Amino acid sequence: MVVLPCAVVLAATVSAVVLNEILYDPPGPDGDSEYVELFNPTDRPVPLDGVELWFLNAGEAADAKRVWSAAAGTVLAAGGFRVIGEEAVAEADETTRLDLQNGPDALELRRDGQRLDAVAWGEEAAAGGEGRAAVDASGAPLGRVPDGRDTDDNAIDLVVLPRPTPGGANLPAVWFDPISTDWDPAWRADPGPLHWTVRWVARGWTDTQEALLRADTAERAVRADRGDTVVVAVTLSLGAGPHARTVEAAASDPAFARIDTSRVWVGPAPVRLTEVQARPRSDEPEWVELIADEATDLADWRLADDGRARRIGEGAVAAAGERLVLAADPAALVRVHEIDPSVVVVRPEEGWPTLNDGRSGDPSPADEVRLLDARGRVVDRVVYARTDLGSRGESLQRTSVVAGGRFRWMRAAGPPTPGGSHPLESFRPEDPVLTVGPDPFSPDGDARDDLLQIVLEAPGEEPVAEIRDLWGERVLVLEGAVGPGRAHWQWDGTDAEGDPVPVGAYVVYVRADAARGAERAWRRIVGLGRR
Amino acid sequence: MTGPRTGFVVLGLLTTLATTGTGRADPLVRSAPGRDDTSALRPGRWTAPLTTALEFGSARPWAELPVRTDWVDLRWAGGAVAFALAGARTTAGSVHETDLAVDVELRSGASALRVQAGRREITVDGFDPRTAIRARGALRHRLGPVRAVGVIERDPGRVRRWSWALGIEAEHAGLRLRLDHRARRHTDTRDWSIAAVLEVAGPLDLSVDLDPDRTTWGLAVRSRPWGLRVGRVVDGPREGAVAVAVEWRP
Repeated sequence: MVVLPCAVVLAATVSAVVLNEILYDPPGPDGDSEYVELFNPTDRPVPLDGVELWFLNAGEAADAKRVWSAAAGTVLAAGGFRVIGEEAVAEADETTRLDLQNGPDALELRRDGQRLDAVAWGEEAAAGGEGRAAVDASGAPLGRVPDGRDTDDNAIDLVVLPRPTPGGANLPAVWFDPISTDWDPAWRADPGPLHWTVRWVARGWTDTQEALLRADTAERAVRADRGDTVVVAVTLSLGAGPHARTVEAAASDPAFARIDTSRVWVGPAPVRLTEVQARPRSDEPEWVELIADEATDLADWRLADDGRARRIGEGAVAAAGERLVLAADPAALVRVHEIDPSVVVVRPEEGWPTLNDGRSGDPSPADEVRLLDARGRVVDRVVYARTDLGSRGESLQRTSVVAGGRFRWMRAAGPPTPGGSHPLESFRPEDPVLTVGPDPFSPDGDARDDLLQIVLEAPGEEPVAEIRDLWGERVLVLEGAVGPGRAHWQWDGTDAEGDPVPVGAYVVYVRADAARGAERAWRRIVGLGRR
Repeated sequence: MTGPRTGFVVLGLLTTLATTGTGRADPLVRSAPGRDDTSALRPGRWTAPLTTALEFGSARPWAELPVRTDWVDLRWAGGAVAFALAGARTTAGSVHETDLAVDVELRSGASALRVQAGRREITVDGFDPRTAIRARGALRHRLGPVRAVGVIERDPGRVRRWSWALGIEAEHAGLRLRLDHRARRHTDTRDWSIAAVLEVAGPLDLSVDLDPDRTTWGLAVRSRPWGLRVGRVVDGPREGAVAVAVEWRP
């Protein structure tokens, strides 16, 4: 009778232990990386004698398997974690074979045959847990936020964690994650200013979170609701070479700090993107062309869209001055474009970063292509919108114009040229001032002379290019790539509303402010025909 | 570019002080070959009745660019009806245009209705010729020294085919002032132009024509039955454009 109250107290304490974090589907092959984390949310140590972990296949008690049992004398400290993991889990306090499945399944924590806690996952109606099942967490752990939260409804208590935290808190009360660091331009061909924008998202579990965010010399005290994005921007003037800049976030109550590093490159990169096919024909795979100034082994380089960067892998060796093509399906690309066998065409080892082509008519960025070197530095990048891509089958090509430290890109003037030079880079004005061609051009979609190229050397200040009809009426003002040494426009034979103009003669009228405000103007007549 | 334009504005204002006669002084503007739709409201064109005449003209509408247009107009006016037949040929680099137009004008009291049908053929080197049939209609009314006209045009060669213009012209003692408002759906533009024509001496007219894109001056010398007109654009994208026309009026 004297012992009974103690036993009741002990049992009540053990029942507070929860399955706090579960990684049942690690990224990639499941291997030996699964783990289950226990947490004692009380302020007293809890003996785990007799506690067992059971895996319930499909959540059925009849198909249960014990995967772990606590050794005698095991105690879980007050507020402590205990990680039961497979061999590859470095943080595991105890190693065992879990063999958890991807759901719908469940785990139960038992003592003396009594259920202490249970979690089901995979489908909302999955059996074996408490209340509704937790959401499916493919490639990431499920965890209670905050630690130990237990309302007897798995769907409420457990969320997908942004990162594995075995043996530690699942999510701090205050947590700011730098979700993107964006250098504009992504790299400069020449030293000069770079605009750096760092975006954080408030990922702590409290509703309102305060922190001091810093990006190099710029800092900002922020107060954000959970899930809000906060931006800190700064313009830096950087010399040639690689640069690493610090991103910091810190809070004092509760304490939180994290430091990350962002890298950027100033100066000519030895390998550059030269052509991108993000909106291929139905029989053509997506692809990206690179050119190397010097022999480069790209095995540890990476190709990325606006998501994950993919390692290019073995076999991607670019000879000096040669092009190399990365493709979603190299065999299909070689077949469609009859690429010379001497051109290296490979698929990134870690898969193809599917390139989005956006919505019709949408001028906002649809996606980007980034090239990262072996040290993770972005050495080139092209951002495009659907309106940049044109018709299916037209590629984007690098022009010879450098503006703001970044090369400009334009729609291909002819068929795509994977592995070969393209017209925009070989287009050299014969006239030292304004060159317009081809004349006549034919914007009829037959991939021959569909775009009128307009290049102005030494354009001066704010050059403007207009198309006029034969009697002087303005058809439209062109938008183009304007750099300090050269301006480049294209005309696709449409007016300001996007409607095709009639066949006939048109005048390209370009004007620019020269020194001391004087205005210069150039005119060229050009024929527009359609087949 | 503000210099010449300012000068011509001053000239235009000065002309309000002058008097005598009427004139036609803008040879850059042709009436019948309607390819130049700005012509609809110019002096002696759609704001004025057709008169019997034969006219030959030639223009370089883009100065040094390889663009040239030549035209011939034949006009006959009776009491209540008038006709015009006009042809033009334009060469612009690799493009060749031929334009033919027929006008009929019906008059009743102070009002007149004028319609025009035109056929334009455009050939671009290396491509098959394209043909477009276009139509214009205009309603004109005279109230004392003031003539007002509304013009509407349909051009099937364009995706958005309609355009229209309104003009008003006042004439008093040798000075003619004209104000045009044009709207073009195919370029989605509206603009105004203002013109002044002054008969300096009996056979001599001076004109200035301002619109948002250009200033044009013109000079006409007339010794019946012959008339000679020359003109030049002095600023804007077509700076340096020139034209000359010879007219015979029985």
